[in-house]
This record gives sequence, structure tokens and C-alpha cells, in this order.
Amino acid sequence: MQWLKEHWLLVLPMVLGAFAVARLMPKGEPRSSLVARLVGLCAVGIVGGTLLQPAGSVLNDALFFLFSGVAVLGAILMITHRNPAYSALWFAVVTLAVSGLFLLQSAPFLASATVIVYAGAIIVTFLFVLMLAQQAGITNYDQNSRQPGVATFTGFVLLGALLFVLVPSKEQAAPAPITGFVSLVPKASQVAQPPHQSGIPQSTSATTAENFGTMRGLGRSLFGDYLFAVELAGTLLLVASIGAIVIAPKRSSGKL
Amino acid sequence: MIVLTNYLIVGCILFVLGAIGFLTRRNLITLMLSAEMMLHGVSLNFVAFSNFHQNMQGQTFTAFILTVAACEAGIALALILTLYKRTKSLDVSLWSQLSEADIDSPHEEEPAVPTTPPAQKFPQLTPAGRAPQFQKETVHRV
Repeated sequence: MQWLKEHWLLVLPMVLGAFAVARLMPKGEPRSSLVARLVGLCAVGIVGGTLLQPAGSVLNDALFFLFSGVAVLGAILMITHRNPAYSALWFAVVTLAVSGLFLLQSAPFLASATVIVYAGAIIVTFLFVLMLAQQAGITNYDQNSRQPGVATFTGFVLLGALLFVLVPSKEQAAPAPITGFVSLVPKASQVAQPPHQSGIPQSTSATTAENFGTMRGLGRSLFGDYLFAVELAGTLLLVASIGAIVIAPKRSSGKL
Repeated sequence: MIVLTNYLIVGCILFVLGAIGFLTRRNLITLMLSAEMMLHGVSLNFVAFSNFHQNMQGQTFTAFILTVAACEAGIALALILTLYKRTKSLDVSLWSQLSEADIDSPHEEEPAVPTTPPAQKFPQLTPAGRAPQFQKETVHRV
């Protein structure tokens, strides 16, 4: 009870969110989902209002809350929509929001690459397969998800545990010098330190702070430190394309 | 000043929602999309840590995640098309006989939902101009 009283701000949105997601999952006849939508909005609002800490800069915060809200709500709508085509479109929305978050984290190349690869290639091919395979319209298996209550319960227990670890409670946050994983804000002394003291294996080429977040820095890192991994990734792409051709349905010879 | 925990929380939420979608949905394509959303959550964590430590390793790892996701999507779509050719359905429950023989099938009998789509109201344009005259003779049936 005492524990619950201390952590009700963490438990409450988990319960509300689990209820909303389980209720929104397709099961049987379509039913009115207004209550579940409102409860889900409440849960997302509570998480956004209490667990997330504003960083100080108004524009940064506004963009972060916008992108993360769109990402989370789009994710809920994606996994609960009864029509897989709309699911794919909501996934595109999630992808755009996540690439916005990448931009905020000074990763412009990854943001554009994510938009191109996911929204440009993966979503389009998924929609093509949907068009090929599901021409009958609404199907029975899309209307009946498999044990939504149990899966949602499990998922939100996992989420609650993760958030419990990530979000420091009040008495933990009071003593300031926490180092390592739990240190929440990069301190100026930490960043300015010579990097090999922080226990992270440091790269050999010039991927330090002055190159951070630029194409130059990413290129130096990819083709300098991780050159063999890049070669391996290229080989992986080749093998995957050959495999896709082999696995894809055979057609009779002479027909494309 | 960027707070690391915010991004980790959003990444966690995306990962867990993707996991829930992967466990519950039965359409093969929605399963794949949910797995890709779990990858989104993971790469958001990587990029947040990359910014936190001010080095490029997280971003490099995210670039590799993108590569693997592209490979995965290609092979998964080929697999899905092959499976669809066998069963003429995208239902993943039809493949539950691939599991161990002595485990009960998770597929439970459910009342069939009427699959007729709800009556959709299409917008109607007001007629403008002269109605074209169709010539029935010119229509060729192949």
C-alpha cells in the first residue's frame, strides 16, 4: 500500500493505458471506442505531464512533446486499427514523428534516411503486398485479435518496470551525484572530460565533439571505425536480395 | 540541454506498443509493422545515447539497424507472399501447426464477424456541364 501510494503517478497511467489498448484492440463486433480513446489520451497526458521533464528550452520542449505525442498516439492507433492498410499509414506517421525526434537529437542524416527507407520504401512495398493479397476487404482475422487482454497486461507490466527503472523517484533524485547510467543530464564536466575515462570504448578517428551530428562525423565513423561492418552490411543486403528472389513465389517460365 | 530520460521513455513506449501489436494481431503484415516499430523504439534509444555521450557510435549503430530493417522487410515480404500463395489468407493462426505437435493450438474458435464493410458514404459531385454520351457499340469485351 505504501509503495502504491508513493508510485501512483506511475501505476495509474499504466492501468489506464492498458485498459485503453485492450479495449481498443479489435475483438468481435465493432463497438463504440470513445471511452477507451479518452482514457488512452488521459494516460498519455499523465505520462507526458509527470514523467517527462522539460529541458528548459521552450522550442525544444514544444517540438519534443509534439513529436513524441504524435509517435505514441500513432503507435496506439497503428496496433489497434482494424484495417491493415490504415495500420500501415499510421506506421508512416510514427516513422515521421520518430525522424523528427532524431532531428532534435542532432541526427539529421538518420532522420532523412529513416524517412526514405521506412516511409518511402518499406511502407510502399507493404501496401503493395496488401493490395495483392487482401482484395476481399475486411477479413475475419483482422477483426479478432488473439488474446488482447493478456498481451496488453504483459506489455504494460514490462513498460511499468522499465519506466520504474528509468524515472527516478523523488527521494532518489535528491542526492545529486549519480554517475553512470542513471545520470540524467549530461554535465558539462562529463562532456569535456577526456573520453577514455568514461568507460566507453572510444573511436580512433576524429569522431569527437566538433564533428558530432554532422554528415562528416557519421561518415568518418562509418567508413573509418566500422569499415568492416559496412562491408558486412553490404554483403547482408546482397544476400537478402538474393534470398528474397529465391523465396518469392515461383512463376511459370516465360512469364514475368 | 537535452534530457536523456525523456527519449528513453518514448523509446520504451514505442517498443512495448510494438510488442503488444506483435503478440495480438493476426495479420502477417501488421505483425511485420509492429516489429519495425519495436526497431524504431530501439533506434530512438541509440540516438538518444549517442547525443548524450556526444559521440557517433549510437548513430552508426542506428544506420546498421536501418540496413537490417530493409533486409528484413524484403525477405519478410517474399515470405508473406509465399505463405499467402499456400493458404490464400494472411492469417498467421493458420500456420499454428508448425509448432510442436503436443501443444494445443492457440487458435480458438471465434464467432465470425460479418465481413461486409459498413455502408460508406462517398461524396457526390454536383453534375456540371453536359453529360457525355456513351456509345455502347464501341465497347470491346476481351
